[in-house]
Amino acid sequence: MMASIIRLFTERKYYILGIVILVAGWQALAMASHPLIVASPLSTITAFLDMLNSGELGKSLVVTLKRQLLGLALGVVAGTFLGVLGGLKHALDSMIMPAINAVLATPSVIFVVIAMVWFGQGSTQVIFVTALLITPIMYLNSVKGIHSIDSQLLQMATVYQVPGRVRMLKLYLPGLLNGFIAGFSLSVASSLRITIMAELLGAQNGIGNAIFITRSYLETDKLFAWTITLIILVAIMETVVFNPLHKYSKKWQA
Amino acid sequence: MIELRNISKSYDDLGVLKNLSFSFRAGEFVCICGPSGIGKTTLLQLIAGLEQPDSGSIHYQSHKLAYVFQEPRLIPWCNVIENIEIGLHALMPQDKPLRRKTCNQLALQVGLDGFQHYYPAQLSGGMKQRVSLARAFAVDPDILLLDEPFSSLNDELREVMCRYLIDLLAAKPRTSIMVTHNIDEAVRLADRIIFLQHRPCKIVLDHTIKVALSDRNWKYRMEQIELMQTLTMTD
Repeated sequence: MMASIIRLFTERKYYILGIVILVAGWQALAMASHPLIVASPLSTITAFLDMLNSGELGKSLVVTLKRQLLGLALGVVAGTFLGVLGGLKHALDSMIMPAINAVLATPSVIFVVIAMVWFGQGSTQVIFVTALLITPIMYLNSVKGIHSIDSQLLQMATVYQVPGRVRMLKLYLPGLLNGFIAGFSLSVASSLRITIMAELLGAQNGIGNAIFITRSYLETDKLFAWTITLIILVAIMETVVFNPLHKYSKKWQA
Repeated sequence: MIELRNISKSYDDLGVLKNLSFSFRAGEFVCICGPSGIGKTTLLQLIAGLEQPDSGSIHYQSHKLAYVFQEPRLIPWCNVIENIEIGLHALMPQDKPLRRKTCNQLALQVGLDGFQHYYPAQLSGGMKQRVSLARAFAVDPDILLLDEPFSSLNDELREVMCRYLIDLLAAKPRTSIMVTHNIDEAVRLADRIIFLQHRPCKIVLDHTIKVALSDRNWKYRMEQIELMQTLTMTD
């Protein structure tokens, strides 16, 4: 146990050093300015523990995560499905691309406003905006994944008259995986940002709404505590979701 | 039997084949030799249906064919058995146990016993090409197309692969067409050797070997190579 901790510190010493420098810089900044402008690391931790003990953190976290996961799931399914179709049929890709470009070119906040007009304030608009903005990310990466499939393998499949279902399962979907993983890891972090932005503007609860309230009451220590919470959350998501997927995709590349 | 009638094929302005006609008899092993870029691979791809001729036609007695490519073309995320199995999905879609049994037998025949669950990245070049060979024989083809399948292997491995190929072909005669640069390989394996030259290419030699495979010792092979070099040079 002790040996593995020492090994971890030795292997990642520069990463840990980077964190120490960051916290030291933050502390120096807090000391040089007013607590209402920059909360110190200590007051941030205190605020974090207060939020944890009062149940505020847990409640908001659950609401936001539910919305994020639902929006993410819808966006991933829609983007991947359309991406596979677009990747296989160039004509479909050409037909879908104007919509994808339109979503990418439009500032995200406009979709929040439109969704608020359509669905009012609350979960529906947050989920809708999250799904809408995740779809292009998944679409582009899925198309890229399909296009990255070796044409020589497809020629081999033609010679051996491999049926469409097997071709999809053995060639296209695994070939898609690299593009999917790249898109999915980007989407996991992006969906949290989008959900919080949509909550901040048009929801009565969740982390985004909590951040909106902390800003209104100038509770900078809580604002910083929420920021730290989100950083930890993204790190956990990457460890739980992204790393195993990445490891899986590498297993045949020994 | 396969019959090519007045086949022409060009890529942009580059005429590769022009009014080429010849036939392959059922069960014979034909080696097609000739310089690089002459159109040998194009010829195989036309027979396999991967390319369409600009004019002319190809007539087959059977469409059940297999292709051993120059590169093994194995699916990286499928193991040895799954790669051998790929062509069997069309032939026996419902019978997975039989598919697996066939693949295991072939893996054994090409010396890959114990490597059934290895991924291509874990295999050597020779082993990958043996998987490719097993995949071709798994579909029990009437027509076997081989596009310089051993060109990336050293002499020792090439000899091993030739033996595997001879053993696999011994069970059942199949119309086999192999493109090769290596005349010794052609003399070692073929019943008939066709030499292509010029562009658009034409047949400069169509030579039938009458000596049995087992009697083709190194001395005989050297004589044949010399003979063919003389015949192709005097054209």
